[in-house]
Amino acid sequence: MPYTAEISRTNPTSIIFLVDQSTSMSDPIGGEVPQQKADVVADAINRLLTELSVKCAKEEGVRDYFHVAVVGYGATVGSAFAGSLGGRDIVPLSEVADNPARVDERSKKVPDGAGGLVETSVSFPLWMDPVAHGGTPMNRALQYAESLVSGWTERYPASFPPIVINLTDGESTDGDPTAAAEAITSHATADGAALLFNLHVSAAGGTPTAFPDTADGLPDSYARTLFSMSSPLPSHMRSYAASQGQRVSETTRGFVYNADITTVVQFLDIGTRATELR
Amino acid sequence: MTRPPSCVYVTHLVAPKHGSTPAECEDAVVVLPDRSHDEMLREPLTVGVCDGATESALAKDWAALLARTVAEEAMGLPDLLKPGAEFEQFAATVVDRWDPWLAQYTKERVEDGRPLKWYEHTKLAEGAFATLLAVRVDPDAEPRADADAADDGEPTPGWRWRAAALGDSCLFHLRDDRLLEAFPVKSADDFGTVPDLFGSRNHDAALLAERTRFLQGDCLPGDRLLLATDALAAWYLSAPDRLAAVRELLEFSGPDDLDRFGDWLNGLRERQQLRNDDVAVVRIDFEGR
Repeated sequence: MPYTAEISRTNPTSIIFLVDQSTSMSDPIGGEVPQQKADVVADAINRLLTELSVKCAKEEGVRDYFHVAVVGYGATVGSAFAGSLGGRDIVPLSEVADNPARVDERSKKVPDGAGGLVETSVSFPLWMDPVAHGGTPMNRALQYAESLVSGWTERYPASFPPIVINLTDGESTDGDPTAAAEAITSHATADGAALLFNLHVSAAGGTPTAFPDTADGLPDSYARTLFSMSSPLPSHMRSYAASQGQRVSETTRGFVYNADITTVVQFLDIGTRATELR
Repeated sequence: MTRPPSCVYVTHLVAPKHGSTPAECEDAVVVLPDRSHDEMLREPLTVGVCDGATESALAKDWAALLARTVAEEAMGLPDLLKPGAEFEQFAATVVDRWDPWLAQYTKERVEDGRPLKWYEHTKLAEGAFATLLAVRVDPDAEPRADADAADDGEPTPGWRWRAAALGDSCLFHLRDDRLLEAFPVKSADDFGTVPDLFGSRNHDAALLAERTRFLQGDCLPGDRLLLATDALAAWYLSAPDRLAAVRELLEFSGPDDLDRFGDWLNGLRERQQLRNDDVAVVRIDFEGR
């Protein structure tokens, strides 16, 4: 059965984040608290990398179940890591976790274990800052990701397939990205084809939605194109989404519109999950 | 004819998943009294088996603390492993032991020049997680006159066991090496990656007690209790021939067999008969038949 390979340190997988850094990302998205799209995607990347690091954290350090790339596209296409990881492509997760550009302290309410909440200070590491400059060369970015995916599938032919996660406002300025997206998912390991998921941040309004099974109701052609480019969720990811109360079907795709994409980290199985009794 | 003396032998084996070192193994076993596998036991015994969750930090330390505490508490309280206030009190006691342990650990890390990293602080705020399986075995005060194994009219020795389980670490009661009872998981299809877990920061002792399953039973000479963490338990429950599976497992009878046991597990993993996970197994043999 595809998408069942064990994700381990000896058989890791890679996650390649593509981050739209074009000028249009300085526009605000709607909502009660207007935010620039560039802020939304930078925040999403920082939270995704935090969640991945914490998921794989053990007492001896973060385990390299995943190797991660953060690729920006705008005026140029290339590594979007800030700080000491700047310029690097695929980086083992332990190095990512140990080398954020900086760590902010923020206050957060957390469960006190007895049904209440207490305010506590939490570390908020940052690996990239918001950037909005240049065009939206999504084709070039997808081709860049394809080269990383191709290299990974050759190096780890039995691994869980690489996952490409594209965070964008969808307004490609170098042509229809559909063919470049298909080129990514044409690469495969013995466990299945590479996966491409998309987060669409948009000012077009409409209902925020996560992992829909239809393009009906999406507000514009950008959203519909990104939905159609997105891989169907593999069966175990659908099962997990369903267990969290999400409505899923066999056509559910890895597409999120103006909503939280960090759930995707929870879709990844590295062993027994650490969850409190409910 | 005089029967041979009744007694119990206990042996246990713990092996890490393929790709992990023994120090990284997150399955913990504590057997009390702490005797060698070839030493006869005639007194009550208790066992704690805990499987630390992969996604949890310090899972092996929490599993070890949980297994040790439940074995000790069940030794002191014969009725601990049944629904009621005593088990709820145990749940509160063991959770209360975690934060002092963690404070000491954190202090030692600072003293070693390796203070906790940001991701450890974040993760440990959530607590550590492990399954819990505990059993207490008591020999009968008097031999049983009515036991069905007494085919020669002699009174038969017997034992009473009580078990508690939260999560998917399993107990199997075997008679003539055939499965008499599987607890708490009955079928290989019921294993997954989201078992109920005992959280080190779960102060809701009533909930922990409510979600824990309890069972008791009686053993006769020749019976066995096998306690196993999920991967090996799933292998056994899904085996096409469970009798043959048990006999394969019985080839490993003591700590001297640990290397061979590890090789055997790796063979099962290569043939995709066993999920790659840490393995703990405890075997309690009731002698005297």
